[in-house]
Amino acid sequence: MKHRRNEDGLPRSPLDFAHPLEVRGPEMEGAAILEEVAPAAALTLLKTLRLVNAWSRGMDVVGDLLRCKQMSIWEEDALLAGIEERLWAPVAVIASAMKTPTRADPREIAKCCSAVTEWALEQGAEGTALHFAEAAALAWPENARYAWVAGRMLRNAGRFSEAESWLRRAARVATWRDDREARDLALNSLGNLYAQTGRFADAQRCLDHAFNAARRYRLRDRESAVTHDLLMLHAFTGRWHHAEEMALRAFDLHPPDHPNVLKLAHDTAQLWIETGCADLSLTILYTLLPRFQAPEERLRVLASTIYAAGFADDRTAYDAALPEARQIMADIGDSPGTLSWALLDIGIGAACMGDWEYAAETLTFTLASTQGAGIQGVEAKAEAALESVSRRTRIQAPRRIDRTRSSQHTADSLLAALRIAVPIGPAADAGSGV
Amino acid sequence: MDHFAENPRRVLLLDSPRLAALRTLPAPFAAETLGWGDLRRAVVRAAPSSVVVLDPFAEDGEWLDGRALEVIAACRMVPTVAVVPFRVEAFVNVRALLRGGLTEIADAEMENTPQAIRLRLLSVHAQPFKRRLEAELSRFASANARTLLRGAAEVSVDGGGAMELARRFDAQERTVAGWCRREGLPAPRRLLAWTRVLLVLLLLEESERSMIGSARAAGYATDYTFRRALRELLGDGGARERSFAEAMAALNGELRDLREQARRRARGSRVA
Repeated sequence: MKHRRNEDGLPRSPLDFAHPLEVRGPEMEGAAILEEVAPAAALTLLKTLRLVNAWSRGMDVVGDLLRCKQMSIWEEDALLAGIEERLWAPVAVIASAMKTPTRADPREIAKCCSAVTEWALEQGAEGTALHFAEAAALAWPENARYAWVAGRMLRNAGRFSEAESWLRRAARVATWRDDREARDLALNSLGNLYAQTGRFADAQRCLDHAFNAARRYRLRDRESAVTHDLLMLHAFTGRWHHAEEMALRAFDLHPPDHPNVLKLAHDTAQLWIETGCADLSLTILYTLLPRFQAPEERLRVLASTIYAAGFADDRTAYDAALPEARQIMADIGDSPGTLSWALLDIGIGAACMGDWEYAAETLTFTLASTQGAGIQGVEAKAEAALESVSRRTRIQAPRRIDRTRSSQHTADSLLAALRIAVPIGPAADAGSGV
Repeated sequence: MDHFAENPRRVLLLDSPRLAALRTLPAPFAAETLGWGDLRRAVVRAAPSSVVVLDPFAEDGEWLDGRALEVIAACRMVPTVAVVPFRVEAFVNVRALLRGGLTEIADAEMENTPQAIRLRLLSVHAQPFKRRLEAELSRFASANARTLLRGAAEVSVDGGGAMELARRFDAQERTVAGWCRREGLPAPRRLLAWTRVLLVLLLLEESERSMIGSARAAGYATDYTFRRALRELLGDGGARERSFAEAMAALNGELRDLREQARRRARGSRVA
């Protein structure tokens, strides 16, 4: 790919830039707004979205849609629409800008669209938020970060194909504009998207690019984030030694008080469940739980605890973790990414404990929530676990992996690094190492 | 030669005072004004490249959703646009029309001149067809593959070929061929053969057309050429016995094989 520093313009890449304006998707423009938002605000927002998108296509395409007289009338209507101020303010700025469309500032338009996105997220209007996140990226196409934000939001919403489109675009624009951090963010997010959808070779390629770029340009925060994601990819694909190497590197890169250290410790604990060290993992997870407050984060730790308890045959740990996990799941509802992994771990833990009915119920729900969503790995594991549950056969705990001297050294170093970040209790000192 | 100069896209415009300004439209559109009854009859036979433009309000302000829904249902492969005021009073009715299959809405206060509505009319081209394709397309198709397929759907509806597909993306034909190969799609000519066949199968399922009427609406000279194309893609078996769902399953199978080939090529080049 050609690298160049350029203040203006975009790379010539017709296919990457065709979606969504040039070659439209199948849905009505702004469809989600009419379904999610109250009528007065919905119609104002729909009009705003359509005018911004039309303006983004360029004055040579838009014809006389953006006529000054009509824009003035619309500006007045927007002011009188009686919508709340947090929404009225960005809409009014856009309406005013559209009166002189050739002089409208893309930065300002993009910022206003982002303000609407934030408002929509607070209202729980996710589709509306996504519409305006895309509109922001289209309004200011030279800014790769808006494209990255749109891509990430779409990925989190389970709209993987559209997410891929935006993240590829973000990487392309960032390369063209020499925005190194944005490029790294885009490649990292794209790698995670591919991992989530089972395209592991593509995931490895993107994350390797992101890793190398972060190192080359000394983007330390980025290097630690990508290293962490490489840990997850290697763990998921069963490359345990590589995963431990990445985990060790990630601990080295994170200062002890870095907010991601706890998450890294959790992911390392999860890795060690898969390598046959469920006892040690339980000790780490016990220490971690009080340090997480947000419900989704606590759920993740609790689910891992239930999973580890199942394999360690620790009824006490299982019984302690399950009630809160169930409560949080009932409270937060369903989202394709977060809940499916937690459900899977809980279902398998329940199966290991011989809690057959609950295991069957949880695993069935896991399958139902992921089928068609394209989240790789969860479906296959849930099906296999459900098969064991239906036959009432115990799911085998992962066995301890064989280690070379080198990999044992890595594992011991990793345990030492984790202990510096998270003081673990005496059980870990009593020899239940990796 | 400009394809649209010879074959402008037909706009079936409801005869309504509020739509009078749209009777003369810029290229590539040419409007025909019809009353409700004639409009419905015309839609039944219209090519899927046509667009229907409605005003669902009577002169006295009565909401004519029954008539509008009849026109929409006459052929769901022809996109329909309702020109409505973006006002709270119309909100519930508009949403009901959208749920009833209306393709798009246009703003009666903004998109009320020929130039202003042109962009909206362009945007709905092949939308119903694209919607059905996306609903059945394998979730493993990449983002760029989807974009190429949408482009192919649009070109098929216009009766275009590989050259028009390349033009759609402002690229050379061999560039588009390279993209198709990279994204695990059939070569452009075969891709367009698929989309044309799928279009005919949908027209047969969703409208009152005959086999020959559906084939001609999708650009085939005769129903024989359509049946031959169908056989080449799906093997032997009567055209009437083939469904859109079956054809999509076959296409998804072919895409799976092509994706695997593309991955093997990519792995091979990395090793080399």
